[in-house]
Amino acid sequence: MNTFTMEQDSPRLQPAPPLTIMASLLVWGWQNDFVLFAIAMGILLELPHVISWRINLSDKDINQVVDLSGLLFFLAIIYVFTTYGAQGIYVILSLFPFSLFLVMLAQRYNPENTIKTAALFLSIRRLGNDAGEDVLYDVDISMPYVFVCLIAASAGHKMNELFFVLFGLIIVALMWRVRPRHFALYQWLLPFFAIFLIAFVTQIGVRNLHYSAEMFMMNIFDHYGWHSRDPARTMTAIGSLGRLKLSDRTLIRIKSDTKLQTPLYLKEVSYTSYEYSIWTNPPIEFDIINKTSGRKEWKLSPGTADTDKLEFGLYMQDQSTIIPAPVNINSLFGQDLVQVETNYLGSVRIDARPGWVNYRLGVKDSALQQSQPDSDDLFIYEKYRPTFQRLAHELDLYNKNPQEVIRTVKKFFADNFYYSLSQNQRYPKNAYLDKFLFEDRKGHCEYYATATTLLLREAGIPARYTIGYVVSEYNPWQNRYLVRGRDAHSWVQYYLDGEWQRLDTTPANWAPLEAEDSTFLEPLIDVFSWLRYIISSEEIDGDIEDDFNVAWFLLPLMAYLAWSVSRKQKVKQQRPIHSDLVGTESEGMDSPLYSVIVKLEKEKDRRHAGETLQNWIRRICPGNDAKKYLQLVLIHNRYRFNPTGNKQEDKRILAEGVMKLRNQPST
Amino acid sequence: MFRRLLYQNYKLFFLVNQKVKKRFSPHGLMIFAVMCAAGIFGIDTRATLSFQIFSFTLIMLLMALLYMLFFRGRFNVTRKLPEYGTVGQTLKYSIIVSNRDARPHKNLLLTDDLKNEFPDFNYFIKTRDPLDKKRNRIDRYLGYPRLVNTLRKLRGGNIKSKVIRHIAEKSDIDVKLELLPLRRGYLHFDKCTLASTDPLGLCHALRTFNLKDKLLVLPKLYQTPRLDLPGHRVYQPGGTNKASLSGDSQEFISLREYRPGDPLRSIHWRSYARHGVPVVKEYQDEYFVRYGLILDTYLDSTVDRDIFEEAVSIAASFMVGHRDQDTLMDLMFIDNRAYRYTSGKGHHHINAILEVLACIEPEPDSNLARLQELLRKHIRECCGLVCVLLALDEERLSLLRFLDDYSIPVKALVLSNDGADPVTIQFRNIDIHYINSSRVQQDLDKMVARAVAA
Repeated sequence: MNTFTMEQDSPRLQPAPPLTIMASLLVWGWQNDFVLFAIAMGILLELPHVISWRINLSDKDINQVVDLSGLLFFLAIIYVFTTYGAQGIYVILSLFPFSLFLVMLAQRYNPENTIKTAALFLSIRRLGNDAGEDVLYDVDISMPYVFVCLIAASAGHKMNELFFVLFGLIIVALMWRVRPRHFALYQWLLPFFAIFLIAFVTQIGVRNLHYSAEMFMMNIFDHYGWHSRDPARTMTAIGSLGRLKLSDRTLIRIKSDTKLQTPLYLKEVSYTSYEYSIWTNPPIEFDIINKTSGRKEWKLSPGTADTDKLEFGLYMQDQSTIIPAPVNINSLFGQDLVQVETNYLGSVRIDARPGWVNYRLGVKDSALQQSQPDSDDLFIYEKYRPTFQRLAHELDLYNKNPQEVIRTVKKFFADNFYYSLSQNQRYPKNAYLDKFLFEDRKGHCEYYATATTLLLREAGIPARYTIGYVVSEYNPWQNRYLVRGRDAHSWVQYYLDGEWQRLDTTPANWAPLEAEDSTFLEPLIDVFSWLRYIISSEEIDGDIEDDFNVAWFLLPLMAYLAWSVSRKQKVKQQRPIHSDLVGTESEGMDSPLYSVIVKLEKEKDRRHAGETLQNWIRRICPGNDAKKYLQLVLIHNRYRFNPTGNKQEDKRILAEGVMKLRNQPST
Repeated sequence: MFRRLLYQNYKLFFLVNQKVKKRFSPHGLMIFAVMCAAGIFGIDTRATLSFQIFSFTLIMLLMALLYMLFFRGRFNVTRKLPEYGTVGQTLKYSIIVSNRDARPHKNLLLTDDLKNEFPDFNYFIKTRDPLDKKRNRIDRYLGYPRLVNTLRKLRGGNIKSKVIRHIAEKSDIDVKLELLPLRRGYLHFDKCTLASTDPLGLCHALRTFNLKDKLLVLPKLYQTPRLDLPGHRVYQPGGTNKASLSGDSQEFISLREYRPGDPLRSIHWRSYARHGVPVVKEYQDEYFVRYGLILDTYLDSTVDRDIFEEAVSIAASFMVGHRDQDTLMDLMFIDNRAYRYTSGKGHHHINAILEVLACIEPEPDSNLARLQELLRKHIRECCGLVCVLLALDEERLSLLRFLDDYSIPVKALVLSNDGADPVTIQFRNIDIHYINSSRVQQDLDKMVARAVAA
């Protein structure tokens, strides 16, 4: 028996190997644009590996350093959240290495190169020496600090796959020091090699899983939670980090007799005031449109004839919905419609039963009347004014007439900007438009429409931010244009030459770019969506639709029912062969004995009700006379009631017996 | 309701925490924490790249956990415990690990566990912890630190793990473990675990052995002053072997391990040198007088449990400290019913008395009347009394008055947390000493100084 053992003194974290802190700080600095800070901090923290100079810090000193760091971090949290709003959480994350730096520095230049847990936790500090060895001990926070730097680095977006590789290498360096020495080197390296490969695939899977889950939830949200636009307020995705993703769900189906030559813009709502990513309107009253007498038709511009008609299928989540409609809408017709309203900003709201609603929309040559521009259509908040003044100066808009301004603005966005659904840089809340116009020069339609609206206002042209949908996707087998969630768009309406006109500065490739994210299951989903639409929607005016009839869907069902019924009839026909009940009334009625019975009833006595043939024969034919009848009655009964008997033979015997009786003289 | 919910959560958390700590190494725990943090920050894969950290650390841990499936090891484990332990005294014992495999094993972590007895909800609510005074209000209300402390006390001790660097194939190894008992009474050993770390050093593959055992831990002992009570020898019923003569015979009986409180002159230095631990000589008493030791076990809610523990220790110290004199010593207390154990010639051995004291429990309801009844029966057999009291309230003063009437010299030791105010009542035969529970030995030493001065 040997005693080759070693005491395990409460296992503790090992210090981080030299240069790992520097490496993690550099990754963090590169990712978050703190490179210079990272280098300086890294040098200060790695220097104790090469110099022996130290400061004797008491526990109290270290406690004060920790408290100071905590206070500074708390102040930073308040500042960041007031500046960045909810997105500030990621800014806070990126600042973690700063918050722990002083503590780390105190530890590094302390001769013991550790700090007490009591310094980090007030509850332990209050207990003092009573806290017990299991909670009060010296700890080296260098390894946790490396991980803090790496997690903070993940808040930046400079690298993607490279970050994964760098993180992996740093963690390998950290784990090298603490590896169990009794394993061979290859036993340690091989798992890490496998980890690299599997983790790389896993992180791609995690990202895709997130996208799929998000898509799934968005579809559910769209299905159950899609509501009409709020005419008073809309929140844009300006300043939202990451990649913008909209639903692929079909929201509107449009049938047109003529093919659309250009994308059709369906306006929902215009807004007048912008601040902090939100467009708002003052309280708006809707005016009820009078229905044309005797018809389910509403004329928005009475006295004007329709120049063309479009058939809309729209999913109504609520009873009352602002409908996407062309700006030149003239009339609405549909059996499901109950009420139609408009407002001075050109929005149309209908009342109908929730679910799929079909209506016919008539258009005219000119746009629906909107209110004249007022001071709201030229208003810019002061915080945004310097940005647009600077841009207006750069484009020399102040010295141009309105037509030239429109052309210049259009050209400015077309030449210098590109479409992007991703926003990776984080800025203060009111700085996103400035960064969009002067630095990033990329964004989605809400950036373009908002910036254009405010720029036109700065140039003195009344403008409104407008949201709605753009129709371009034609589905041949549905024979309809489809409008999906991802077709949502925003543009500008500006007032010139006495009318409101449309200006869309978003690069024209926005729709294909948004379609790139669609799922490969989209065609299948479309089929189910179409079936649901067909089954749940009603016709506009009660007529049978010419191109598709619900009855076609019922055809397989009807065929099945017919087959089922015919099968049932076949069964009925077969049953008498095996049944004891069916056919008792008709079978054997041609028995020859009946003629004898009739004769006997006339000559002797009638059968009483319920009296059997045998009893009757015995009653009317006493003695041996009955025997010759009773033998025939047995055969008659067999012929009459036994379904499995030999009918032909029985009938022959009966006929012969009856013949014999007739030939015999009556007694 | 809220606290009950908290209690349930603490219970769950504690159990999970125990399992996680056993399964992961400190670095594995750190990777686990990093994975959780990265999972939280990386939930939006568009906003941060934390999901990459999450994926990497997750696969690391899964890979390490995978190792557990491939760990093969067949062992036998046997625990060898001593007869007794003493509170506050590190105790050494052995675990014999037998490797039944045909191959050696390296770096096995041997952990021996004392049973965790999770207190019920009422105990959790009512338990008082002296450290609560230093805790903030939230900690006091939530009670988790108090619960952890209570669990530590109920468990009764800490055992340091040992690493077995190498165990050859088909061989045994004797692993010496150290236990520091934190409370008196029985300590229940539960499971013994052999852990083998994975190649990454993150997780442990475990082999657990159910080795249920128990060890009696005797109360902590102090150096006590001699009982120089101005009494006289009293007739002892029971025959000549209990004759009331005085003096030591110096007749040697046996050697045994040193216990705190043993006089230095009893140390057998040769044995000490041979074994490395102090060993003392025991002598047979032949002459004795009879003292009574009264232990107050009425612990109401206003008095800390620690005071009771100190009272038991003081009682044990007096019982041990005077056993080598020519005395009989009666230990009298109430625990459900009245008890009187006599230590000395022809009576219980001191170890039996210490076992009794190791298992004694306080009573929440007043039992001083019953104690008085017990004293009434036996007080005339004693030539002096030591009375260890948990407080000095009216009921206990009444007890002292009762003792005072018998004209027997009494030393009353009154315990308190922060030093009780001396009573103004004068007793004829009672000498009251106040002992602060946080500095018992110093106050006992003061008793000696007072005696010398007197």
